[in-house]
Amino acid sequence: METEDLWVSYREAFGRYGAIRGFYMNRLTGQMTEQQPGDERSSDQDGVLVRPRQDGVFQFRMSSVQGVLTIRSSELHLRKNENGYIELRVLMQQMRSAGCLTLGGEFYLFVAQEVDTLDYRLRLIARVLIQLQRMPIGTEIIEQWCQQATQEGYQLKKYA
Amino acid sequence: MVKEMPRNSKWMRSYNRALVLRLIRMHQPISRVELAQQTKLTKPTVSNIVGELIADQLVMERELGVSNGGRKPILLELVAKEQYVIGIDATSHRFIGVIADLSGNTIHEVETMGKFDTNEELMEAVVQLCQELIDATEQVGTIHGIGISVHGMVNPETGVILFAPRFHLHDVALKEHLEQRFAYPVFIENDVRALASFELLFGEGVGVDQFFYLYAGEGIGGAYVLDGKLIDGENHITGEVGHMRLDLDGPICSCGNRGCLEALAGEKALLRDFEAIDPQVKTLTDLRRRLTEGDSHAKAAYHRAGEYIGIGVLNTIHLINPKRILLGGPMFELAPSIVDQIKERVAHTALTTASRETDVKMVPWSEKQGALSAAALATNSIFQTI
Repeated sequence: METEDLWVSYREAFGRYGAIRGFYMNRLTGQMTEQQPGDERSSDQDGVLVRPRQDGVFQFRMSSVQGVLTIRSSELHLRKNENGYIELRVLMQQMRSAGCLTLGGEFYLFVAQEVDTLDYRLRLIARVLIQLQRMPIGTEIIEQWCQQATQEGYQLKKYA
Repeated sequence: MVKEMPRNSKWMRSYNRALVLRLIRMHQPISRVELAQQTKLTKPTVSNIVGELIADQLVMERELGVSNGGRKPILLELVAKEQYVIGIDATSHRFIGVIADLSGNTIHEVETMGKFDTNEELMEAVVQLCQELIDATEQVGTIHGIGISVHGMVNPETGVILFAPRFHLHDVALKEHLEQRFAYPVFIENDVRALASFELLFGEGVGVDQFFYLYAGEGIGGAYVLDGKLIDGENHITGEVGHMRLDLDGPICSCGNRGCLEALAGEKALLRDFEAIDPQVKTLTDLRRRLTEGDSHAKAAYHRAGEYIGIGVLNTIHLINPKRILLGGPMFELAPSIVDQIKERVAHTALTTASRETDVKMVPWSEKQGALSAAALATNSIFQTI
């Protein structure tokens, strides 16, 4: 059951222990900040809470979608048709090739309904992954990766 | 966990053979009489085993020893020439491979950049390097085995790399693949555990049946040797001292916890903290250069790391009470004063008088050490084979 407090929702989904980080993106300015539990979140901000893990397993929970999507970093080249997440695999594959994919993590995306599109989620996940890896990669490159991933996903689905 | 073989007469014979071979390696040149005294085996049993080892071209008879009145004893030693093992350090995309003899000396060395994205490509890259090393022997001598050292989590029993973080690869059945391609036994091990294996055979672990090896560099890891064997653990994480938590509210570690030793004192953590002091320092090479140039902030960072590693060592002593702690890795090479800090902490703060005297030693480390350690895995199999 989702609550008003993102951090409580996260803990209900992934457990209460471990170091959780909260990244908030202002959807108007594109600016990303890291915040702590209890920090005020404005209505213009969408958030990603994440707990790193070291086993190459990524789990994604979206506030608007039921269930948890699990992806192993060694299987990114497999183009499984998972409700539109081929694009996410393609994006992560690109990040892996660029050496900026983290070792794993449990992600919970809290995105306002009016902007909750696949493109937006991709961008958000990519930016959080970059933040976790602490690599100096510009927003333009991330945008490029996301566009490529969307296009490739479209092609893959078209000819699947 | 390593499966125990049933202790029948076959096991006993094999055990005695490994024991005799190990003693010859450690005490060579040595006579049959001395071997019988040390092993408490009968002289005919020792003679039989030695006969087998000579037939297998692992041992040879050397010059005559000093007589105590009777016939001069014939001394035994390992056959050093043309008995090889192959070792490959595959901890990064830059593979280093060596051919070594049974005494741990490098005979031939090769370096190559592995290009791979999938399990199959990684295995093929290792196969190519193995083939190159085998070809380098020009079919002279005997190759006893292939050892591969990899980073991440490994099941040494099955030879499967469970997860290699730097490569983002899971479940690589490397041993099976290599044994299908080559007629030699293959041994796969985690890099830090392989380093400990080298020390067990050729370094400061010789004759020490219980020790803990602590590696400190970009990350921090460890390996535990008990009764002359590497301890793996139920889920292959024994010795993960880098993820010992020391601070409830400390910095976030890559494992998802806070305040792990690695997140406080690994060089990656030092770099993270140093960037806040000096944004120009962006890589480990920058940081290490600052230290060697005598930068006071860099020295202070490594000193603080030494304090944390000292606590990690102390906790390890309290947990498993080893006879010896071996310290290896680039951090100790770059900042040897850390070793003194650790020794001081142990000498003053371990729980009892006896534990304060735990032997803490630094062991040499170099870039080639990984490949030599991998080779030691194969050598180890000759001396430990049951």
